[in-house]
Amino acid sequence: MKPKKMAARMLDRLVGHGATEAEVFLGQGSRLRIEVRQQKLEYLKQESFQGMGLRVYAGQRMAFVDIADFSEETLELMAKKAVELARMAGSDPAHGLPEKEGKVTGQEVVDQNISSISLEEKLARLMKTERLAMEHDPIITLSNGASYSDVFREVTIANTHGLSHSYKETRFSISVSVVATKNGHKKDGWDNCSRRSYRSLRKAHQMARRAGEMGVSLVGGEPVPSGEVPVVFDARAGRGLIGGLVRAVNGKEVHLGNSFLTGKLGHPIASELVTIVDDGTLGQGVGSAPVDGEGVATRRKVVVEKGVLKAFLYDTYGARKAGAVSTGNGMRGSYGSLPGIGATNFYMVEGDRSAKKLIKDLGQGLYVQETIGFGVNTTAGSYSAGVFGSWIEDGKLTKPVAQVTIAGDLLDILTSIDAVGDDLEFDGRIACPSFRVAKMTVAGT
Amino acid sequence: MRRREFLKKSARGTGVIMVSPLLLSALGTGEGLCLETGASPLLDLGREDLDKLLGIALARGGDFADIYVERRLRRHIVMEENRIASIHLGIDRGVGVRVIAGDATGYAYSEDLSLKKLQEAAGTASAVARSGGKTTPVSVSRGTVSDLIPARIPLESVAEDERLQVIGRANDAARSYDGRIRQVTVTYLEEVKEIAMANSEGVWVEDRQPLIYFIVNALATGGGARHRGRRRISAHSGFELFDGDRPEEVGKGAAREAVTMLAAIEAPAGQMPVITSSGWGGVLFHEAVGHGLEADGIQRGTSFYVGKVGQKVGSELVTLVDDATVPGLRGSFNVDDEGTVSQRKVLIEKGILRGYMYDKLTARQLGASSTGSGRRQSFKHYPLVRMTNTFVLAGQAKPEEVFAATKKGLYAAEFVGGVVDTTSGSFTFTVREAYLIENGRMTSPVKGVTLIGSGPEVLRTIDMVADDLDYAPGTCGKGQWVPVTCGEPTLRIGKITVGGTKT
Repeated sequence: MKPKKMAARMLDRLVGHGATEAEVFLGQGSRLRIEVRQQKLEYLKQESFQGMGLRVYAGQRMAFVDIADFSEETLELMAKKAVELARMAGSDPAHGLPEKEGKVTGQEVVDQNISSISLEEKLARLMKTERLAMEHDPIITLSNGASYSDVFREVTIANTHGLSHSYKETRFSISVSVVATKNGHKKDGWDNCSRRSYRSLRKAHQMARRAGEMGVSLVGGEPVPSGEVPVVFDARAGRGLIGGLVRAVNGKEVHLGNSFLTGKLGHPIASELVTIVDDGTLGQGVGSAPVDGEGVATRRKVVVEKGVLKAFLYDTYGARKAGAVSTGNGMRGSYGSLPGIGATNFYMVEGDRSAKKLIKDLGQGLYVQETIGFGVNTTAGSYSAGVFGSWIEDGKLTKPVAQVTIAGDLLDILTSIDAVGDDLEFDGRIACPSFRVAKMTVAGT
Repeated sequence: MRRREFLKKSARGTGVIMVSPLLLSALGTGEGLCLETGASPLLDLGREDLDKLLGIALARGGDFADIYVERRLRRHIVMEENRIASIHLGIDRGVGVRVIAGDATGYAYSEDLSLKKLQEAAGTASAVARSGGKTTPVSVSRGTVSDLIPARIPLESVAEDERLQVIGRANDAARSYDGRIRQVTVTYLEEVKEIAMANSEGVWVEDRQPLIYFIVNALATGGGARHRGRRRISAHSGFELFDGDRPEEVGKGAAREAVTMLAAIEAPAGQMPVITSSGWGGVLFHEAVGHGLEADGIQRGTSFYVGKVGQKVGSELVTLVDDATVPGLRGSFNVDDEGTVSQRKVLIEKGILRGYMYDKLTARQLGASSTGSGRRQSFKHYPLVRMTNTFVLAGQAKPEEVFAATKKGLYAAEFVGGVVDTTSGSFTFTVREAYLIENGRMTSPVKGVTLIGSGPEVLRTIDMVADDLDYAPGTCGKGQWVPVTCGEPTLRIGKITVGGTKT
């Protein structure tokens, strides 16, 4: 049965059991994953999946069920159960289907070639990526492996208000991690890349160089003395901090008071150099789609403009709670999860300084290439993370650093960003260029 | 197949690999939903079908194959702003087929349980074997397992409303704790997982694993500060987990943390002694040591602990075990996800490394036996070597003696979690509730902070271990998520870096 027809039948069934409003989200597709290590195939996994999530309302009460088994008995049982559960839930005027959605401007991003690229070709590319990374430097003697995955998915969303959307998407990812060894110390260097088309994946030699350089520069890191110094985040390490802000601009969390940005809309929260955008319509973005997980058109939002907090992200429920409108950020991890507020393509706009220049200007400082730990605490508005990086002395990287943390108040950190690099690159939903914070506390020896 | 037929078939003893059709009765709570709706059993496969599928899986020359059948009924209920915001019910059902050929693993699964689709999946998984040729005849026979998962009040006997009442009680207790509590979120997670496994070594076993996870988050604001306190309990258990005033205890615990931490001052930065709390403090050992003792890192040569069995790797006060047999704990099971009976492993005994954790693949690669450590997130995933309940055994000291002996330091009471970089051995753990220790006493609360150290080094600096072993529930991620328990008594790390802001 065609997905749209199956969805329409399910809606009829739910209404038949007494649902006052209902929504069906259908996801189906296939996924391939290949892992190699030390030039040997280690895992080969092929999946095909299908399932549906049903959001069911009884007036202002809501329940959700998900099903992967489409047998007549299960569909009937779960439809009936969903309506019963909805009647038991709490009444909340914010519940309900989205309003008539705006104009859909985003496009589906699908690589039609996905089925024509052979397994052998993918495996060869992966092997080459790992081999070149291991050959990058003689001190690289081990590999944690390399992995490739691709996904094809077809999504259908329909509701009893007559909304009906369907789109296809593809995603390709590749990652590699190799280990540098020096004086008994080990450290991995890695690279990863996620794209909408196979052709636009980063080339094997580029990934190998990035991974190799990282491992070689970080191995043997030691703590530095505690103190306050300028900190430069490279574009990969910065993602943790920028990505941590997604929850802080989650409109529902803000409404509940769980974010340090509650009450800050329209106020400066960062330096003038900082502009942050969430854009579900970004061409080829891995977070792009014509509509979000409840069928609302995606769009581009400037979240922070030259340091001023301009917008929060909403799905329909969160928006109604806060007296706002959905921004097309009702995301679903899969058919089995309720829509919840999340990022599409969330990024910090690039500046005009070369990444090298951020370091060159410093007498002393810390260059952060990888962070470890939970980082952002959005409730308290604080940041604390472990660091792998390099020490900066007279504008040059002098020695690897490890087992130190950097910490600070998030508003202080954002406000003291004093330089932004020009090296923005999208390797996932979250992206940022290199940036420099004028002063952070480093805890070490 | 109708229930009646299932009963008949079982009685005949031909055996079907299946998850009890009773599972679907868990959906019925007196509203007229019951087995007669025609709920089908998980999978109607006899021994010959299993043998045949395993044969297809090995047709291209693999060394080992297994079939993993799973059905899981999930509930996820959230209370927010004093109302039940959502009730989520889900059913997962599927079959995974794995083939091991040398060091390579092939995996495929199907949510369509027709024999034809399962044969396709077995064929797909077999593609990893490239040697071609021999087909190994397989014959499985049914095994039995012990029961470490007691459930006095089975979850399928619980009326939906009883769950909502428990959630409401925790919410009320948290809200009435203090006027500064602004928001309370209660999350109730329940699943009944039923699995069956058959493999080319002839093993065929089933298990049933009910699991409850109950979490309260409470937000307090005041004096310009904002803190979210949290308490969580979890067990493989029936509804008796909520006996007595357990829901209120959890609610109050979250509220107490939130309110207390409003007075937190800046955390110190630098190296100092840190006392970690009994229970959740054990996350240190999970991250700093446990992951390095999973045999995949040993086989790959990337773990710090390669070749160190029999050597002293930590303070002699430390005896670390991974024990999947503690009845009811969140990481316990009767059989692991490869059909191996659960075990208690002594990993480190008085500071001496005794052994690693193995699944079937790493055991084959390293010439060892599986320690029952093969776990997977679901039928969509192949097994990996994982921890279960990992904890440090109780020592001799009294907790108050540990404090009294500490002139200046930090007490880490509640944790967000931990992360390890297995290659370098660096790990962090993030503390949500902490206090300064001054002259042997806990004084001011300090703001949440990250602690960082090298696992092997920190293990050597543990200099006091108390006698109050306790456990704490968590979820461990290693590309896949599995439920685990951490544990330890109150203990002191002689020196570790505290990542605060006050230098």
